Amino acid sequence: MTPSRPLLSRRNRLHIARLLVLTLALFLVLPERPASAGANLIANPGLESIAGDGFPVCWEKSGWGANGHTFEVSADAHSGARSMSVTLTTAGQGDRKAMMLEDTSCAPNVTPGHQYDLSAWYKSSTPNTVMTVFRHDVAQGWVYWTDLASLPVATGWTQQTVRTPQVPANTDQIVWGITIYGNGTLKTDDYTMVDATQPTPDDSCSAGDKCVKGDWQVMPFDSAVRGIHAVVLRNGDVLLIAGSGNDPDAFAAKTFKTAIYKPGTGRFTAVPTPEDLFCAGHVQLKDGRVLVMGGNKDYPAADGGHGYKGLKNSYIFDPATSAYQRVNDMTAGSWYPSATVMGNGDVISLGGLGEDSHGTVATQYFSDAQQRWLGLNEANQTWNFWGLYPSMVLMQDGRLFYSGSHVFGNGTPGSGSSIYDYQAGTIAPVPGLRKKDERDQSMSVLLPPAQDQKVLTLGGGNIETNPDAHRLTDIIDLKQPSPAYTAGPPIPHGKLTGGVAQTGDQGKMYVSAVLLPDGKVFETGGALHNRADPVFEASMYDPATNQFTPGMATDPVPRGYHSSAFLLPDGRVMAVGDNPGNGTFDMRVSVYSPPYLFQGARPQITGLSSANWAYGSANTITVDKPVLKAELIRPAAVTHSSDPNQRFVDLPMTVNGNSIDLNLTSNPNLAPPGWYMLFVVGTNGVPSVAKWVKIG
Amino acid sequence: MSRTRLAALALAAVALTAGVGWVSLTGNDPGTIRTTSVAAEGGLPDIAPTPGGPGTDPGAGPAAPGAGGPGSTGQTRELAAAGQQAARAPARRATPAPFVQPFAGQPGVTRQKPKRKPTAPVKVAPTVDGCDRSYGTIAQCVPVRFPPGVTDKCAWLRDHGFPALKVTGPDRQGLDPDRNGSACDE
Repeated sequence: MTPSRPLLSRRNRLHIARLLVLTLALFLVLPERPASAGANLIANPGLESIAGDGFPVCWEKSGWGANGHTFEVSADAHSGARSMSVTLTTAGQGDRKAMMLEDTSCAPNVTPGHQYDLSAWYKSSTPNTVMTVFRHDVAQGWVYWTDLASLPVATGWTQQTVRTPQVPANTDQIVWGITIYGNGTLKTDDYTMVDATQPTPDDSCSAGDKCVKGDWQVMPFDSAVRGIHAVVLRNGDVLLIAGSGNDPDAFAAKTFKTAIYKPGTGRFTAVPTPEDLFCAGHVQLKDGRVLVMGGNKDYPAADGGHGYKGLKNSYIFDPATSAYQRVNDMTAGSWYPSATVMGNGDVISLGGLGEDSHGTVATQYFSDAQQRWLGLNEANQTWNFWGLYPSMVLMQDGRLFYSGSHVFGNGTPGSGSSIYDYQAGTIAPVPGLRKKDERDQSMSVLLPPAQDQKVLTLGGGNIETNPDAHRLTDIIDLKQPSPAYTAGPPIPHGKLTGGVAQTGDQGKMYVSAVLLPDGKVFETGGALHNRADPVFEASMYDPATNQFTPGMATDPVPRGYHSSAFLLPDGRVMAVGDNPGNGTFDMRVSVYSPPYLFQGARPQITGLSSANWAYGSANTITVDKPVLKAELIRPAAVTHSSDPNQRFVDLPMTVNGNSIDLNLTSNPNLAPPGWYMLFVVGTNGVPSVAKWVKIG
Repeated sequence: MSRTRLAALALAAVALTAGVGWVSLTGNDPGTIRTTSVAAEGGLPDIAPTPGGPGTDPGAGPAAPGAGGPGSTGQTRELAAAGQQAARAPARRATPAPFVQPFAGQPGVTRQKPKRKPTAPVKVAPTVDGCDRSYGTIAQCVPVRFPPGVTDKCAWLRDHGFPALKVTGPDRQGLDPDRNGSACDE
């Protein structure tokens, strides 16, 4: 019998194997389809359909201000036959833009929480352009959302793509366009908008309670000094300033202290301290040095003859030399002065007590260019007394918002909150702050992102009338034509010493609020009464939902008067200080790891094109995995629940795989010049460790 | 042709079709064409405009450091005609002027204008920190007013870690009924 022929010979099998390898290779070399691929959501994206008014269907002429401008449909197109052209001839006030029509038929539908890649082809003869987005809030209607990126000058057709932040809750549609606000011509064509939402990794957290509450650790060492003032330096170290540390004996002995704390090693280095910088003001200058202003000239007289007296001295602490250098004196003594850095890098200081322990009414102005305090007549004066440590938040137009947070005092004038225009020398009241006379050592923060221009004020008390500190929070949207505080959610209840639960309206003063890189605000510490009765409570406020998540892990160390909490570059929160009425001082240091640090691997910033960023620029970074967002956080300079310079600046992304361009705002008032911590947040919600970049 | 060859051919055809389809699909994807700003800068014109010339922008902010860098001085910097790509090394992008929104105009709100320079000081009470300096050291703080509900001030002070306190001024709070100069020492 002839042996039967096998179904597949050796040769056949070889051929099949070759084919399979070839097929596999073919698939492997094909370009990978991006996660963002999807339908273009723009109606009439190429502007080819023209409406009865001669303008493209689903588009409208938009803008404001007195400026000479023309809109036209141009035949100079990127594709097809038409583009839109906007020309400004007498720019100066306002802007112009071709915008998508704000109607249900034309405006793209969006999903809250999703991100979208917005793209357009353009030519522009001016750098003064920006991609602007509005959103349709189901409760408020159409509202401004954000500005995403400045577009470089381009003579040939150039594509600009920017990814939106996550769409806020209650948003069902957005419209966007490219704004021109300088003299020149902007042409645009071929708009696209695709859903770029990235999948959230299905990582499960195995750290138990820490997954939702985070975790505090009390360091196995004490602080070397009384950490009454804390400044995070551009190298990641922490400057802790005590001066006499609220210790009259140290004052009498002229024992003034400062220490540099290195979070990486837990080591402290003593810094010679030239004067009693207890109760000074402080802020980082644009080069990363720290301007320290005023301080304690004298403690109150035992016979009540005088109160605290403020120093006029001012110093600059240089992280490079770890030393203070004196600059010229301020124009008035300053005990508990505010310190706000402006968009040009100058510093305005208001309030405090003078050398005679009376209220300081001078507006004190430090010129960064001249590196000196200006004379009284060189600065615009209103001769207004702002109280002690008034919380002055820089607004996007360069005015200062007085949030109403302050230290000490009673019977604050007016509505307790106002907008101060340094250039015009005017003060305009702002309504709506509840319990304005119980905002002593409340805390105010510019909520993330700074572009949203919302301020949250939390808690507070009154050391004179000494009621139970309250749990009110108030929020103000400084984008509104007539901003007014509105009621926010109450601070969650905590526990008092002995585990006694708070009840009713009990809240806290001496509260700390820390902006975290995931865009939330960590609220911690505080006490119920004047230098007494610590409240053990911490919660997480989410600006996106306007809600607190209660029940975060609580610092086991009481954190009342003279305590602070602040963000470290590694994403943890450090807390120092507590100075109860019995005169003791708690020297323990505690560090909080937020829940995000237990949620999975951290993204890595593997490359940074430059550490010096110009306003309106795009700056390339590389990362090791997909990221959800990127932002700059200004390092803390905090004391007495006051850090009005704390801010989180969103960096809209242009994503190209693992290479990402981060678009910095053109407006220095949104991100005053200086060193910032650059974070990226992975799609798992976990932030990177910060890289340091210098703005401006 | 053997069955094997037929099967192999069919497999190859499927692979080829899939590949072509994939490439075609990807090529039409608007999301794949990305121009980073860095790439966009490659063909930019010099950013410093000639005064009065085309592209002059009085509203523009100062150029970024290095803009129009070495060798560019004196050159005519007209913006190239549309579509014309300048063949030169990448230039730094111009710094745009700050884009400021017209928020918070506060229409109708009366603004307080600068006051006259005060001739009298703004008095602030020595007890501004809420501490009664008649008791203890300056470092200690017996509250000017005790919290609501406190009926036994000395008990409250003891509970809060205060030792016996020296009375240094008028006994406003009645903490030294025996007038021995020491508060809450009974």
